[in-house]
Amino acid sequence: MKNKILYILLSVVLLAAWQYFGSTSQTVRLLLSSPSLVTDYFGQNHTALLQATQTTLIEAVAGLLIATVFSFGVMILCFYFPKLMDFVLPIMITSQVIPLIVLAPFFIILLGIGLGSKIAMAALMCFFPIFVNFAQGYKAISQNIHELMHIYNADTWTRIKQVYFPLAMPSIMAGLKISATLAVIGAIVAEFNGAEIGLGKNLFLAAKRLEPDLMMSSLLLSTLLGVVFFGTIYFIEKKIINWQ
Amino acid sequence: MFINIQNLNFAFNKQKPVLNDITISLAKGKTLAIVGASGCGKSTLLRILSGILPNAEGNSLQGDISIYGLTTEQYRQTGKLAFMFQEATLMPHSTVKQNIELPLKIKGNANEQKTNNLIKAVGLEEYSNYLPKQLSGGMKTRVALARSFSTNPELLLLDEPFSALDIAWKSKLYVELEKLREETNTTVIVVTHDVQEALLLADHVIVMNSFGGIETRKEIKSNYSIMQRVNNISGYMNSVYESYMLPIQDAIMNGQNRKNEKQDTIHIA
Repeated sequence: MKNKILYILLSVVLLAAWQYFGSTSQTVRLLLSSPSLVTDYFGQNHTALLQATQTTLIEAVAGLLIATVFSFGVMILCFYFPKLMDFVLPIMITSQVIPLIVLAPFFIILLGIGLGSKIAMAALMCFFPIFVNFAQGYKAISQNIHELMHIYNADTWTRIKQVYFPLAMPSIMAGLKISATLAVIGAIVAEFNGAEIGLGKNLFLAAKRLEPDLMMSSLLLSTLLGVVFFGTIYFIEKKIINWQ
Repeated sequence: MFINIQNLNFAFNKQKPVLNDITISLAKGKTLAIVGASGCGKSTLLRILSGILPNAEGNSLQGDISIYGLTTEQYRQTGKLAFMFQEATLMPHSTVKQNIELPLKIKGNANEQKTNNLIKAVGLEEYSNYLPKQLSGGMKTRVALARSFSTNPELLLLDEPFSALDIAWKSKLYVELEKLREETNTTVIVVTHDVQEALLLADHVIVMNSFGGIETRKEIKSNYSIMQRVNNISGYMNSVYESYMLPIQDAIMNGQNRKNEKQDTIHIA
Protein backbone atom coordinates (compact mmCIF):
# COMPACT_ATOMS: atom_id res chain seq x y z
CA MET A 1 0.00 0.00 0.00
CA LYS A 2 2.82 2.34 0.99
CA ASN A 3 4.63 1.57 -2.26
CA LYS A 4 1.49 2.18 -4.31
CA ILE A 5 1.13 5.68 -2.83
CA LEU A 6 4.81 6.34 -3.59
CA TYR A 7 4.37 5.18 -7.21
CA ILE A 8 1.33 7.44 -7.65
CA LEU A 9 3.21 10.36 -6.11
CA LEU A 10 6.21 9.73 -8.36
CA SER A 11 3.97 9.63 -11.45
CA VAL A 12 2.27 12.90 -10.47
CA VAL A 13 5.64 14.58 -9.86
CA LEU A 14 7.01 13.38 -13.22
CA LEU A 15 3.89 14.49 -15.08
CA ALA A 16 3.96 17.89 -13.38
CA ALA A 17 7.67 18.32 -14.19
CA TRP A 18 7.09 17.24 -17.79
CA GLN A 19 4.20 19.75 -18.09
CA TYR A 20 6.20 22.55 -16.46
CA PHE A 21 9.37 22.11 -18.54
CA GLY A 22 7.35 21.35 -21.71
CA SER A 23 5.52 24.68 -21.27
CA THR A 24 8.50 26.80 -20.33
CA SER A 25 11.37 25.33 -22.36
CA GLN A 26 11.39 25.34 -26.16
CA THR A 27 14.01 22.55 -26.24
CA VAL A 28 11.99 20.29 -23.97
CA ARG A 29 8.85 20.96 -26.00
CA LEU A 30 10.68 20.03 -29.23
CA LEU A 31 12.07 16.83 -27.72
CA LEU A 32 9.35 15.64 -25.38
CA SER A 33 6.30 17.81 -26.03
CA SER A 34 4.11 18.18 -22.89
CA PRO A 35 1.19 16.21 -21.39
CA SER A 36 -1.36 18.84 -22.43
CA LEU A 37 -0.03 18.98 -26.02
CA VAL A 38 0.03 15.18 -26.25
CA THR A 39 -3.55 15.03 -24.95
CA ASP A 40 -4.63 17.63 -27.52
CA TYR A 41 -2.82 15.73 -30.27
CA PHE A 42 -4.47 12.49 -29.23
CA GLY A 43 -7.89 14.18 -29.22
CA GLN A 44 -7.41 15.44 -32.76
CA ASN A 45 -5.84 12.26 -34.18
CA HIS A 46 -7.30 9.51 -32.06
CA THR A 47 -8.76 7.54 -34.98
CA ALA A 48 -5.39 7.21 -36.72
CA LEU A 49 -3.53 6.57 -33.50
CA LEU A 50 -5.95 3.86 -32.35
CA GLN A 51 -5.82 2.22 -35.78
CA ALA A 52 -2.04 2.12 -35.54
CA THR A 53 -2.29 0.69 -32.03
CA GLN A 54 -4.78 -1.92 -33.18
CA THR A 55 -2.47 -3.00 -36.02
CA THR A 56 0.53 -3.34 -33.70
CA LEU A 57 -1.65 -5.19 -31.20
CA ILE A 58 -2.79 -7.70 -33.85
CA GLU A 59 0.81 -8.26 -34.97
CA ALA A 60 2.06 -8.77 -31.41
CA VAL A 61 -0.82 -11.07 -30.38
CA ALA A 62 -0.48 -13.16 -33.55
CA GLY A 63 3.31 -13.36 -33.09
CA LEU A 64 2.94 -14.42 -29.46
CA LEU A 65 0.31 -17.04 -30.31
CA ILE A 66 2.34 -18.50 -33.18
CA ALA A 67 5.48 -18.63 -31.01
CA THR A 68 3.53 -20.28 -28.18
CA VAL A 69 1.94 -22.91 -30.42
CA PHE A 70 5.24 -23.58 -32.19
CA SER A 71 7.30 -23.89 -29.00
CA PHE A 72 4.66 -26.17 -27.42
CA GLY A 73 4.70 -28.24 -30.61
CA VAL A 74 8.48 -28.61 -30.58
CA MET A 75 8.42 -29.51 -26.87
CA ILE A 76 5.72 -32.14 -27.44
CA LEU A 77 7.84 -33.61 -30.24
CA CYS A 78 10.80 -33.65 -27.83
CA PHE A 79 8.67 -35.54 -25.27
CA TYR A 80 7.90 -38.20 -27.87
CA PHE A 81 11.49 -38.28 -29.17
CA PRO A 82 13.66 -37.31 -26.16
CA LYS A 83 16.89 -37.32 -28.18
CA LEU A 84 15.44 -34.52 -30.30
CA MET A 85 15.90 -32.16 -27.34
CA ASP A 86 19.70 -32.68 -27.43
CA PHE A 87 19.57 -31.74 -31.11
CA VAL A 88 17.16 -28.82 -30.87
CA LEU A 89 18.47 -27.01 -27.78
CA PRO A 90 21.96 -26.14 -29.21
CA ILE A 91 20.25 -24.77 -32.35
CA MET A 92 17.98 -22.64 -30.17
CA ILE A 93 20.89 -21.28 -28.18
CA THR A 94 22.99 -20.64 -31.29
CA SER A 95 20.07 -18.82 -32.90
CA GLN A 96 20.14 -16.37 -30.01
CA VAL A 97 23.67 -15.28 -30.94
CA ILE A 98 22.13 -13.53 -33.96
CA PRO A 99 20.73 -10.15 -32.90
CA LEU A 100 17.19 -10.90 -34.03
CA ILE A 101 16.44 -7.24 -34.78
CA VAL A 102 18.72 -7.36 -37.83
CA LEU A 103 16.35 -9.92 -39.37
CA ALA A 104 13.55 -7.34 -39.65
CA PRO A 105 14.66 -6.10 -43.15
CA PHE A 106 14.98 -9.73 -44.24
CA PHE A 107 11.37 -10.42 -43.25
CA ILE A 108 10.22 -7.29 -45.12
CA ILE A 109 11.93 -8.58 -48.27
CA LEU A 110 10.63 -12.10 -47.72
CA LEU A 111 7.04 -11.41 -46.62
CA GLY A 112 6.39 -7.88 -47.84
CA ILE A 113 5.37 -4.69 -46.08
CA GLY A 114 2.09 -6.05 -44.69
CA LEU A 115 1.26 -7.81 -41.42
CA GLY A 116 3.12 -11.03 -42.25
CA SER A 117 6.64 -9.66 -41.81
CA LYS A 118 5.72 -8.04 -38.46
CA ILE A 119 4.04 -11.17 -37.14
CA ALA A 120 7.08 -13.23 -38.19
CA MET A 121 9.42 -10.85 -36.37
CA ALA A 122 7.27 -10.84 -33.21
CA ALA A 123 7.01 -14.64 -33.28
CA LEU A 124 10.76 -15.05 -33.70
CA MET A 125 11.45 -12.76 -30.74
CA CYS A 126 8.95 -14.67 -28.55
CA PHE A 127 9.82 -18.24 -29.42
CA PHE A 128 13.09 -18.64 -27.52
CA PRO A 129 11.98 -17.51 -24.02
CA ILE A 130 8.84 -19.66 -24.15
CA PHE A 131 10.68 -22.74 -25.39
CA VAL A 132 13.65 -22.45 -23.03
CA ASN A 133 11.46 -21.78 -20.00
CA PHE A 134 9.27 -24.75 -20.88
CA ALA A 135 12.37 -26.94 -21.23
CA GLN A 136 13.68 -25.70 -17.87
CA GLY A 137 10.31 -26.32 -16.21
CA TYR A 138 10.31 -29.85 -17.59
CA LYS A 139 13.85 -30.50 -16.40
CA ALA A 140 12.93 -29.27 -12.91
CA ILE A 141 10.27 -31.98 -12.50
CA SER A 142 11.35 -34.36 -9.75
CA GLN A 143 12.91 -37.64 -10.83
CA ASN A 144 10.50 -39.43 -8.49
CA ILE A 145 7.55 -38.14 -10.51
CA HIS A 146 9.10 -39.41 -13.75
CA GLU A 147 9.71 -42.78 -12.09
CA LEU A 148 6.18 -42.87 -10.71
CA MET A 149 4.79 -42.32 -14.21
CA HIS A 150 7.09 -45.08 -15.50
CA ILE A 151 5.91 -47.50 -12.80
CA TYR A 152 2.28 -46.70 -13.57
CA ASN A 153 2.90 -47.30 -17.28
CA ALA A 154 1.68 -43.81 -18.23
CA ASP A 155 1.92 -43.21 -21.98
CA THR A 156 3.62 -40.10 -23.33
CA TRP A 157 0.40 -38.17 -23.96
CA THR A 158 -0.86 -38.87 -20.43
CA ARG A 159 2.47 -37.71 -19.02
CA ILE A 160 2.32 -34.53 -21.12
CA LYS A 161 -1.27 -33.82 -20.05
CA GLN A 162 -1.13 -34.85 -16.40
CA VAL A 163 2.44 -33.98 -15.46
CA TYR A 164 4.70 -32.14 -17.89
CA PHE A 165 2.37 -29.26 -18.82
CA PRO A 166 0.90 -28.65 -15.36
CA LEU A 167 4.21 -28.90 -13.51
CA ALA A 168 6.11 -26.84 -16.07
CA MET A 169 3.33 -24.22 -16.13
CA PRO A 170 5.04 -21.75 -13.73
CA SER A 171 8.11 -21.74 -16.00
CA ILE A 172 5.96 -21.54 -19.12
CA MET A 173 4.16 -18.51 -17.69
CA ALA A 174 7.50 -16.88 -16.81
CA GLY A 175 8.55 -17.36 -20.45
CA LEU A 176 5.22 -15.97 -21.66
CA LYS A 177 5.62 -12.86 -19.50
CA ILE A 178 9.04 -12.16 -21.03
CA SER A 179 7.66 -12.88 -24.49
CA ALA A 180 4.61 -10.65 -23.98
CA THR A 181 6.80 -7.55 -23.96
CA LEU A 182 9.13 -8.96 -26.62
CA ALA A 183 6.15 -9.46 -28.94
CA VAL A 184 5.35 -5.73 -28.83
CA ILE A 185 9.04 -4.86 -29.33
CA GLY A 186 9.29 -7.30 -32.26
CA ALA A 187 6.23 -5.85 -34.00
CA ILE A 188 7.39 -2.25 -33.51
CA VAL A 189 10.95 -2.95 -34.67
CA ALA A 190 9.60 -4.64 -37.79
CA GLU A 191 7.38 -1.60 -38.42
CA PHE A 192 10.45 0.70 -38.22
CA ASN A 193 11.74 -1.02 -41.34
CA GLY A 194 8.64 -0.42 -43.38
CA ALA A 195 4.95 -0.59 -42.67
CA GLU A 196 1.68 0.77 -44.00
CA ILE A 197 0.39 1.47 -40.52
CA GLY A 198 1.48 0.85 -36.91
CA LEU A 199 3.00 2.44 -33.84
CA GLY A 200 6.52 1.61 -35.07
CA LYS A 201 5.86 3.50 -38.29
CA ASN A 202 4.54 6.46 -36.26
CA LEU A 203 7.66 6.49 -34.09
CA PHE A 204 9.92 6.30 -37.15
CA LEU A 205 8.11 9.17 -38.88
CA ALA A 206 7.99 11.26 -35.70
CA ALA A 207 11.78 10.99 -35.36
CA LYS A 208 12.33 11.83 -39.03
CA ARG A 209 9.91 14.79 -39.06
CA LEU A 210 10.65 15.95 -35.51
CA GLU A 211 7.03 15.61 -34.37
CA PRO A 212 7.23 15.26 -30.56
CA ASP A 213 3.45 15.05 -30.10
CA LEU A 214 3.20 12.05 -32.45
CA MET A 215 6.30 10.48 -30.91
CA MET A 216 5.14 10.81 -27.32
CA SER A 217 1.57 9.67 -28.01
CA SER A 218 2.84 6.62 -29.94
CA LEU A 219 5.39 5.92 -27.24
CA LEU A 220 2.73 6.05 -24.53
CA LEU A 221 0.43 3.77 -26.54
CA SER A 222 3.32 1.29 -27.07
CA THR A 223 3.96 1.28 -23.33
CA LEU A 224 0.26 0.75 -22.70
CA LEU A 225 0.28 -2.22 -25.09
CA GLY A 226 3.25 -3.77 -23.26
CA VAL A 227 1.57 -3.27 -19.88
CA VAL A 228 -1.75 -4.75 -21.08
CA PHE A 229 0.08 -7.75 -22.58
CA PHE A 230 2.10 -8.39 -19.45
CA GLY A 231 -0.93 -7.81 -17.22
CA THR A 232 -3.04 -10.28 -19.20
CA ILE A 233 -0.43 -13.04 -18.88
CA TYR A 234 0.01 -12.21 -15.19
CA PHE A 235 -3.77 -12.44 -14.66
CA ILE A 236 -3.95 -15.80 -16.47
CA GLU A 237 -1.01 -17.07 -14.41
CA LYS A 238 -2.73 -16.17 -11.15
CA LYS A 239 -5.92 -17.87 -12.33
CA ILE A 240 -4.40 -21.17 -13.45
CA ILE A 241 -1.51 -21.63 -11.02
CA ASN A 242 -3.17 -21.65 -7.64
CA TRP A 243 -1.18 -24.58 -6.28
CA GLN A 244 2.21 -22.97 -5.64
CA MET B 1 7.60 -68.20 -4.60
CA PHE B 2 6.14 -64.86 -5.63
CA ILE B 3 9.49 -63.11 -5.83
CA ASN B 4 12.70 -64.92 -6.68
CA ILE B 5 16.01 -63.14 -6.75
CA GLN B 6 19.06 -65.32 -7.44
CA ASN B 7 22.68 -64.15 -7.18
CA LEU B 8 21.86 -60.58 -8.14
CA ASN B 9 24.81 -58.26 -8.81
CA PHE B 10 24.39 -54.67 -9.87
CA ALA B 11 26.71 -51.76 -10.66
CA PHE B 12 26.05 -48.26 -11.97
CA ASN B 13 27.94 -47.55 -15.20
CA LYS B 14 30.19 -50.56 -14.60
CA GLN B 15 31.69 -48.88 -11.54
CA LYS B 16 31.93 -50.31 -8.01
CA PRO B 17 29.20 -52.93 -7.40
CA VAL B 18 26.22 -51.63 -5.45
CA LEU B 19 24.57 -55.02 -4.97
CA ASN B 20 26.58 -58.14 -4.35
CA ASP B 21 25.24 -61.67 -4.75
CA ILE B 22 21.74 -61.03 -3.40
CA THR B 23 19.43 -64.02 -3.13
CA ILE B 24 15.88 -63.52 -1.82
CA SER B 25 12.68 -65.54 -2.05
CA LEU B 26 9.37 -64.16 -0.85
CA ALA B 27 5.94 -65.78 -0.76
CA LYS B 28 2.79 -63.93 -1.84
CA GLY B 29 1.11 -61.79 0.78
CA LYS B 30 4.20 -61.53 2.97
CA THR B 31 6.01 -58.40 4.09
CA LEU B 32 9.76 -58.18 3.77
CA ALA B 33 11.75 -55.40 5.43
CA ILE B 34 15.21 -54.56 4.13
CA VAL B 35 17.36 -52.72 6.65
CA GLY B 36 20.95 -51.56 6.61
CA ALA B 37 23.14 -48.51 6.91
CA SER B 38 22.77 -45.61 4.46
CA GLY B 39 24.28 -46.30 1.06
CA CYS B 40 24.21 -50.09 1.36
CA GLY B 41 22.02 -50.48 -1.74
CA LYS B 42 18.58 -51.00 -0.16
CA SER B 43 16.83 -48.46 -2.34
CA THR B 44 18.75 -49.64 -5.41
CA LEU B 45 17.39 -53.14 -4.90
CA LEU B 46 13.87 -51.74 -4.65
CA ARG B 47 14.31 -49.68 -7.80
CA ILE B 48 15.57 -52.73 -9.68
CA LEU B 49 12.49 -54.66 -8.57
CA SER B 50 10.27 -51.82 -9.77
CA GLY B 51 11.84 -52.01 -13.24
CA ILE B 52 13.19 -48.46 -13.11
CA LEU B 53 16.92 -49.01 -12.91
CA PRO B 54 17.98 -51.41 -15.64
CA ASN B 55 16.59 -48.89 -18.11
CA ALA B 56 19.58 -46.61 -17.73
CA GLU B 57 22.38 -47.19 -20.21
CA GLY B 58 25.67 -48.55 -18.94
CA ASN B 59 24.27 -50.20 -15.82
CA SER B 60 25.43 -53.73 -15.22
CA LEU B 61 22.81 -56.18 -13.93
CA GLN B 62 23.63 -59.85 -13.49
CA GLY B 63 21.66 -62.68 -11.93
CA ASP B 64 18.03 -63.68 -12.09
CA ILE B 65 14.98 -61.79 -10.85
CA SER B 66 11.48 -62.99 -11.40
CA ILE B 67 8.20 -61.74 -10.02
CA TYR B 68 5.43 -64.25 -10.49
CA GLY B 69 7.53 -65.84 -13.23
CA LEU B 70 7.95 -62.55 -15.12
CA THR B 71 10.92 -60.21 -15.53
CA THR B 72 10.71 -56.93 -13.62
CA GLU B 73 9.90 -55.04 -16.83
CA GLN B 74 7.17 -57.52 -17.82
CA TYR B 75 5.75 -57.40 -14.32
CA ARG B 76 5.73 -53.58 -14.27
CA GLN B 77 3.73 -53.62 -17.48
CA THR B 78 1.02 -55.77 -15.88
CA GLY B 79 0.12 -52.73 -13.75
CA LYS B 80 0.09 -54.79 -10.56
CA LEU B 81 3.00 -52.94 -9.04
CA ALA B 82 2.94 -49.84 -6.83
CA PHE B 83 5.79 -47.81 -5.40
CA MET B 84 5.87 -45.37 -2.53
CA PHE B 85 8.84 -43.02 -2.29
CA GLN B 86 10.43 -41.46 0.77
CA GLU B 87 8.82 -38.17 -0.27
CA ALA B 88 5.09 -38.34 -0.85
CA THR B 89 5.65 -37.36 -4.52
CA LEU B 90 2.18 -35.90 -4.97
CA MET B 91 1.12 -33.86 -7.97
CA PRO B 92 1.13 -30.33 -6.49
CA HIS B 93 -1.56 -29.11 -8.89
CA SER B 94 -3.99 -31.93 -8.03
CA THR B 95 -6.27 -32.31 -5.04
CA VAL B 96 -6.10 -35.22 -2.59
CA LYS B 97 -8.82 -37.02 -4.53
CA GLN B 98 -7.19 -36.40 -7.90
CA ASN B 99 -3.84 -37.62 -6.59
CA ILE B 100 -5.35 -40.85 -5.26
CA GLU B 101 -7.24 -41.58 -8.46
CA LEU B 102 -4.30 -40.70 -10.73
CA PRO B 103 -3.06 -44.31 -11.22
CA LEU B 104 -6.61 -45.39 -12.04
CA LYS B 105 -6.98 -42.52 -14.50
CA ILE B 106 -3.73 -43.52 -16.17
CA LYS B 107 -5.10 -47.03 -16.53
CA GLY B 108 -8.28 -45.55 -17.95
CA ASN B 109 -10.62 -46.91 -15.27
CA ALA B 110 -11.16 -44.11 -12.78
CA ASN B 111 -13.52 -45.32 -10.08
CA GLU B 112 -15.02 -42.68 -7.82
CA GLN B 113 -16.40 -45.16 -5.30
CA LYS B 114 -13.02 -46.82 -4.91
CA THR B 115 -11.23 -43.49 -4.60
CA ASN B 116 -13.69 -42.39 -1.92
CA ASN B 117 -13.20 -45.65 -0.04
CA LEU B 118 -9.43 -45.14 -0.04
CA ILE B 119 -9.82 -41.52 1.12
CA LYS B 120 -11.97 -42.87 3.95
CA ALA B 121 -9.49 -45.63 4.75
CA VAL B 122 -6.72 -43.10 5.36
CA GLY B 123 -9.07 -40.72 7.20
CA LEU B 124 -8.92 -37.81 4.78
CA GLU B 125 -12.62 -37.39 3.93
CA GLU B 126 -12.61 -33.75 5.02
CA TYR B 127 -9.54 -33.00 2.95
CA SER B 128 -10.44 -34.62 -0.37
CA ASN B 129 -10.50 -31.27 -2.18
CA TYR B 130 -7.37 -29.91 -0.54
CA LEU B 131 -4.17 -29.31 -2.49
CA PRO B 132 -0.90 -30.89 -1.24
CA LYS B 133 0.39 -27.47 -0.13
CA GLN B 134 -2.49 -27.35 2.35
CA LEU B 135 -1.62 -30.69 3.96
CA SER B 136 0.79 -31.66 6.72
CA GLY B 137 3.64 -34.14 6.10
CA GLY B 138 1.65 -36.96 7.69
CA MET B 139 -1.41 -36.24 5.54
CA LYS B 140 0.71 -36.21 2.39
CA THR B 141 2.13 -39.63 3.31
CA ARG B 142 -1.42 -40.92 3.85
CA VAL B 143 -2.41 -39.66 0.40
CA ALA B 144 0.62 -41.41 -1.11
CA LEU B 145 -0.29 -44.59 0.77
CA ALA B 146 -3.89 -44.48 -0.47
CA ARG B 147 -2.65 -43.81 -4.01
CA SER B 148 -0.38 -46.87 -3.77
CA PHE B 149 -3.39 -49.06 -3.07
CA SER B 150 -5.66 -47.51 -5.71
CA THR B 151 -4.74 -50.09 -8.36
CA ASN B 152 -5.05 -53.09 -6.02
CA PRO B 153 -1.35 -53.85 -6.37
CA GLU B 154 -0.05 -57.37 -5.96
CA LEU B 155 3.32 -55.98 -5.02
CA LEU B 156 3.92 -52.77 -3.10
CA LEU B 157 7.44 -51.38 -2.80
CA LEU B 158 8.00 -48.84 -0.03
CA ASP B 159 11.20 -46.80 0.05
CA GLU B 160 11.50 -45.40 3.59
CA PRO B 161 7.98 -44.01 3.31
CA PHE B 162 7.53 -43.03 6.94
CA SER B 163 11.02 -41.75 7.73
CA ALA B 164 9.99 -38.10 7.94
CA LEU B 165 7.14 -38.72 10.40
CA ASP B 166 6.99 -38.76 14.18
CA ILE B 167 6.17 -41.95 16.06
CA ALA B 168 2.49 -41.06 16.56
CA TRP B 169 1.93 -40.66 12.83
CA LYS B 170 4.06 -43.68 12.04
CA SER B 171 1.96 -45.86 14.34
CA LYS B 172 -1.28 -44.74 12.69
CA LEU B 173 0.12 -45.38 9.24
CA TYR B 174 1.50 -48.81 10.17
CA VAL B 175 -2.04 -49.82 11.12
CA GLU B 176 -3.52 -48.25 7.97
CA LEU B 177 -0.89 -49.97 5.81
CA GLU B 178 -1.51 -53.32 7.45
CA LYS B 179 -5.31 -52.98 7.11
CA LEU B 180 -5.03 -52.18 3.41
CA ARG B 181 -2.44 -54.93 2.91
CA GLU B 182 -4.65 -57.53 4.58
CA GLU B 183 -7.70 -56.51 2.53
CA THR B 184 -5.81 -56.83 -0.76
CA ASN B 185 -3.34 -59.62 0.16
CA THR B 186 -0.58 -57.41 -1.21
CA THR B 187 3.04 -58.49 -0.99
CA VAL B 188 5.05 -55.65 0.55
CA ILE B 189 8.76 -54.91 0.47
CA VAL B 190 9.71 -52.03 2.72
CA VAL B 191 13.13 -50.44 2.84
CA THR B 192 13.91 -48.76 6.12
CA HIS B 193 16.78 -47.95 8.44
CA ASP B 194 14.45 -48.14 11.44
CA VAL B 195 14.73 -51.61 13.04
CA GLN B 196 11.62 -51.01 15.13
CA GLU B 197 9.62 -50.24 11.99
CA ALA B 198 10.96 -53.40 10.34
CA LEU B 199 9.96 -55.53 13.32
CA LEU B 200 6.50 -53.97 13.54
CA LEU B 201 5.66 -54.46 9.89
CA ALA B 202 7.59 -57.41 8.50
CA ASP B 203 7.35 -61.19 8.37
CA HIS B 204 10.94 -61.33 7.18
CA VAL B 205 13.85 -58.95 7.76
CA ILE B 206 17.00 -58.81 5.68
CA VAL B 207 20.02 -56.84 6.83
CA MET B 208 22.30 -55.57 4.09
CA ASN B 209 25.97 -54.79 4.60
CA SER B 210 28.04 -51.98 3.17
CA PHE B 211 29.20 -54.14 0.24
CA GLY B 212 25.62 -54.48 -0.99
CA GLY B 213 25.40 -58.07 0.19
CA ILE B 214 23.12 -59.75 2.72
CA GLU B 215 24.61 -59.69 6.22
CA THR B 216 21.84 -61.73 7.81
CA ARG B 217 18.17 -62.63 7.45
CA LYS B 218 15.50 -63.26 10.06
CA GLU B 219 12.00 -64.64 9.92
CA ILE B 220 9.89 -62.82 12.48
CA LYS B 221 7.58 -65.10 14.39
CA SER B 222 5.07 -63.29 16.51
CA ASN B 223 1.52 -63.90 17.58
CA TYR B 224 0.83 -60.20 18.01
CA SER B 225 -1.43 -58.49 15.46
CA ILE B 226 -0.32 -55.15 14.06
CA MET B 227 -2.79 -53.38 16.36
CA GLN B 228 -1.33 -55.13 19.38
CA ARG B 229 2.20 -54.38 18.22
CA VAL B 230 1.49 -50.70 17.66
CA ASN B 231 -0.67 -50.21 20.77
CA ASN B 232 1.94 -51.86 22.94
CA ILE B 233 5.15 -50.85 21.17
CA SER B 234 7.42 -50.98 24.22
CA GLY B 235 5.94 -54.31 25.36
CA TYR B 236 6.23 -55.77 21.89
CA MET B 237 9.79 -54.52 21.48
CA ASN B 238 10.76 -56.01 24.83
CA SER B 239 9.34 -59.35 23.74
CA VAL B 240 11.34 -59.43 20.51
CA TYR B 241 14.41 -57.60 21.83
CA GLU B 242 16.75 -60.51 22.40
CA SER B 243 15.57 -62.77 19.61
CA TYR B 244 15.33 -60.16 16.83
CA MET B 245 16.12 -56.54 17.66
CA LEU B 246 19.53 -57.13 19.17
CA PRO B 247 20.81 -59.50 16.44
CA ILE B 248 19.51 -57.16 13.70
CA GLN B 249 21.15 -54.12 15.29
CA ASP B 250 24.40 -56.08 15.65
CA ALA B 251 24.20 -57.19 12.03
CA ILE B 252 23.72 -53.57 10.90
CA MET B 253 26.74 -52.48 12.94
CA ASN B 254 28.84 -55.38 11.65
CA GLY B 255 27.84 -54.67 8.08
CA GLN B 256 28.75 -51.01 8.51
CA ASN B 257 32.04 -51.73 10.33
CA ARG B 258 33.26 -53.90 7.49
CA LYS B 259 33.25 -50.85 5.28
CA ASN B 260 35.48 -49.04 7.78
CA GLU B 261 37.81 -52.05 8.00
CA LYS B 262 38.14 -52.12 4.27
CA GLN B 263 38.71 -48.38 4.05
CA ASP B 264 41.43 -48.64 6.70
CA THR B 265 43.11 -51.43 4.77
CA ILE B 266 43.05 -49.41 1.58
CA HIS B 267 44.44 -46.44 3.47
CA ILE B 268 47.33 -48.46 4.96
CA ALA B 269 48.12 -50.11 1.61
